[in-house]
Amino acid sequence: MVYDTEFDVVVVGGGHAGIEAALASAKLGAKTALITLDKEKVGLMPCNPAIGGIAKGIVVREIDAFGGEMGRAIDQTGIQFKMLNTRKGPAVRSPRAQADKEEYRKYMSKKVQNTENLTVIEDEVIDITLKKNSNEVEGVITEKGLRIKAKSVVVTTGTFLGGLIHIGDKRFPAGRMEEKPSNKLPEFYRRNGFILQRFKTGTPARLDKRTINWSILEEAPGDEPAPKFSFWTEPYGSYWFKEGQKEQISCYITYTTEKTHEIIRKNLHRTALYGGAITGIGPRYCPSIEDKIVKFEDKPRHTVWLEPETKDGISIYPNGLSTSLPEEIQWEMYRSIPGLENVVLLKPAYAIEYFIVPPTELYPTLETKKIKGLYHAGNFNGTTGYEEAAGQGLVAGINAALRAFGKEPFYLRRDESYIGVMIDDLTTKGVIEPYRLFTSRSEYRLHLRQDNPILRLYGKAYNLGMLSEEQYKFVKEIEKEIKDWLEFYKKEAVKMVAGGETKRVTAFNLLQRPEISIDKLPSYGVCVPDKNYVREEVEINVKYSGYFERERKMNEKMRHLENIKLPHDIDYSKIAGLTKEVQQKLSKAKPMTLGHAARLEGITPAAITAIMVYLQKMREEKTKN
Amino acid sequence: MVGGKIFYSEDTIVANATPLMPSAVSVVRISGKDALSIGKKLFRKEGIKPRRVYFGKIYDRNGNTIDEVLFIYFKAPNSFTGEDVVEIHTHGSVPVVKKVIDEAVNYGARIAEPGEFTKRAFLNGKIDLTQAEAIAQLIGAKTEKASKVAVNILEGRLSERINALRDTLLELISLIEAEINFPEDVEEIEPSIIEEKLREVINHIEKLLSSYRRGQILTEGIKLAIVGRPNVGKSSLFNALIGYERAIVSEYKGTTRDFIEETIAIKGIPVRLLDTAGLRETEDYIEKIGIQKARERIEEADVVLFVFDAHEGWTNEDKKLYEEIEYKQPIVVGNKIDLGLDKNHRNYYFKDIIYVSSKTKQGIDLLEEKLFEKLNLTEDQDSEVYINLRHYKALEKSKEILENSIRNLNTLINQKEILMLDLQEAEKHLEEILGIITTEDVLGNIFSNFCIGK
Repeated sequence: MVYDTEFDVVVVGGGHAGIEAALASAKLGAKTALITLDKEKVGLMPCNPAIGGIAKGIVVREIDAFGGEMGRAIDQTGIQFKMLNTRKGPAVRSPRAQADKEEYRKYMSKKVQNTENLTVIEDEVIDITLKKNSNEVEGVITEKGLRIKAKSVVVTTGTFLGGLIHIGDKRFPAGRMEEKPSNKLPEFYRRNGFILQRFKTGTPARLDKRTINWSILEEAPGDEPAPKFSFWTEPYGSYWFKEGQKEQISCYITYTTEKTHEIIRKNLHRTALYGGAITGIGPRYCPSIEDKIVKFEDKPRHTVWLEPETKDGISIYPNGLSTSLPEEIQWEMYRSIPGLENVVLLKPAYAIEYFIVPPTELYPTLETKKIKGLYHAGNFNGTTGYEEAAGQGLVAGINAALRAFGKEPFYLRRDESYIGVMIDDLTTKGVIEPYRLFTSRSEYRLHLRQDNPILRLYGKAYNLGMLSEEQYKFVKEIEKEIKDWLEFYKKEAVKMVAGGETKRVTAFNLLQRPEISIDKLPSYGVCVPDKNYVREEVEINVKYSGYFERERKMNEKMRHLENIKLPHDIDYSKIAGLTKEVQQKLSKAKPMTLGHAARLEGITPAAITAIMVYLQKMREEKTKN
Repeated sequence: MVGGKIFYSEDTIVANATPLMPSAVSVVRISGKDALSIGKKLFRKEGIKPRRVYFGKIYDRNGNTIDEVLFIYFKAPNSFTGEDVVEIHTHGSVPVVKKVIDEAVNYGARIAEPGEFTKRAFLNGKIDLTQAEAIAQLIGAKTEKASKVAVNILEGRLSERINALRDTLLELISLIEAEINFPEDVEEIEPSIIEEKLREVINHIEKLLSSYRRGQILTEGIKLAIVGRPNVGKSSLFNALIGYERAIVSEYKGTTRDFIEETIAIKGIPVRLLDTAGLRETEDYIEKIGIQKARERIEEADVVLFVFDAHEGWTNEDKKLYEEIEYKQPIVVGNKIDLGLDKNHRNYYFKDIIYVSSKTKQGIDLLEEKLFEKLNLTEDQDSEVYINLRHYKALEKSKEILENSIRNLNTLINQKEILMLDLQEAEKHLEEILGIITTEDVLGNIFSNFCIGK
């Protein structure tokens, strides 16, 4: 049966990537369908009940700057908020929040069901159809036998494709715990010549709050004032809640013991990973406890964070303790940890294996190179983390809609956002293990801070139609104020006493001194901005002014390469100095710029030089003729 | 860049790999996709296998024999350039070599640009930038010692040391990155540990920096001034010094006005004698040229020998002259000991005198040793590398940045992203040395210093 509506965009999957894709597409005015197995599970957090963290928190604010939903959702449903790395400098700080995962899910589920232009369909996509004699999508076929037509299709299947859960030596097919996997869609990919890679991830057991001895544990409260994720939640135009605005709940800290490690070592052969049952590659940066014990055998203990999953519920998430040990050993292992001596497991820990399609199959727009109108986002691209997924969902959703309207595609650059860094990494280098973001992945980290996503991106977002006129004007005004204050400080002369001498310096120079914070300026007779946000931006911009320039210079060579466009019809076999292997890689990857080429795996600097020389010669010959 | 030189894969180059001059053997090298097919047309033999030496004749296009040669084929990528390479060893006759090149060009090869073989090796990833430079150094080496060091660099000794430096720095970078990116799991590193590691890197950089001076001495040579009043035997002392190993470098004798400059070497070090006047004259130079002129020359010198007549003894005139140049900390040489020492020699107010006889060569070896000690050249040179000006500048920058990080460490502890910026910048300068990131002009400079065929 053919579905009665013809959609502009069909989004497959209602996880964190699917949500942002569907909402962005609908916001741009595209007739959008979100197809998911269970309406009520939209926005579920199958792993840790938290949003944000290093670099990830910045991504959430970037999504917010594009009118995305993740930031608003966590601001509404968060139960603890923290700014990480406050002692380490503004560019590496990042907000993180514990979510009430039930509230978060309800929020998102309600949001997608009450959005203009967006229809939620409960079904499973089992195939994607292509137009006759063409490599362009036509629509999807569902398990219930519907044929749904769409100009663009965004696939965000997370861990569902060929999903297989492992608990010790037991295993069974599942997309997430207690949900069936998607076993038919992989067929579409195989048929169309895509390679499927096997990845693995895992999640710890959930613990019964009432069986934990809290009195002996170290408390980790939230920050006050609490950082927020959306620039638009109250108080409007800031990244901080008001003092006392959010009621917060504490997390608690405990540590593994020598006994924990012993239990794991003794039973290593019974874990799915070390027992050989799992062949997929797991995330190095979010390892299971058995991984940590094998890889860091000298470390006497590992930190465990006990995080509440909901405000009032009994389920506790022991962050740092994911495992694929058999269930009975899990009980023994968890109970070897101080505070957990009598703990009861509500759900066992499990590991899950699933298929991904290598993201090198994608353009920076997240459209596949093989099939026009087909977009991939989220864990299906080999990433890990809700935030990474949501960031890709946003870009895929926007592009899917733009394509439906026949408009130019959109992409984010490395020097303007972490989302751009991530997508560039994914599409140029590919993944050999689940990818997560770090600040160190960006060569522009002084610029890509948690405090300025809105300033970095609002222009682009507005031009696309993702921000309202009112929002645009609001930010533009703030941007102007910041600029004016900086100009003012450059001119304003201040008397200061240094080494017994009275000197005249500008307010700008005074504020550049490490020991002078902006709040000290009034004591030198210099006024400061009223708006908290403007004050914070002015201070960081003054303090880091010299460093921005250094960062820019350091990246100049790369940026120079970024500006060298590679002709579409370039014949790499004509360039000597390139090995056959490099020629093939380049011909396959079709890099758009020399910078893009330089970031490809296995492309040496010498090869880049050879291409540069070749292009130069081509230009010379052109001018000769 | 590089005058717009360009390599197409179908482009095969040819050049003489040995100088164009009469000699026992000359080598013609062909590199590129068609190297073997061109080689076969010249050599007219089938079944050529890589890395074997074949004996046979080279023919011109009309079938006339040009020469009897040795023929070797290196298959890509196992060759100097990383491409197919053919080497033809002819008799060392200039017309023969020219004829062979001519015929290769006739069959489709192009005459190579200067440095093009080395550049291809670099572009094909066979060598890094320090090694490419070492090839130029090796070709231009004037002394045995200089070539030995160039070979060390060519074998990758300098790259190894730079890489060891980078590794130390990268280890520190990853430690701090771990702390930044996993604040909930990784504890903060003690500032004292960061400082210790930075100092370690700086120490290694300083060691390399100090090799610059030695490198200069090895390639450029030293400037030597011999000072003393007339008739103390300065000329004969100089002759005694250079006579020791005169045979090593004699190629360019008589080609420059100041014939001494390029033609002498002491223990393998090129030595340029500065004309401090009075050396070749017998008149009192202070009066004739003026002390000012002499001073300028002495100022320029790397080493000054102050010579007096040990038989005659330390005179007032010696004393007056010595005081003029004392600031240069000259090596004091008592000459003419074959005639017997002055009775008062035990009462001289400086002890460190090298007694020699230019005539019998007695003590000359001691003087040389002293000279080398003064130049800081005593270390074992078998594994020694030295850096050039390009390396020196990059290392200096790297060091400056790291020293600055230590100075500001108290602030940087709370601005770790700035500390990381410092460390990354320092590391980028090290990368530049190896050519991991190369700009077009750097490449252009390096490869334009080559001569054809290299």
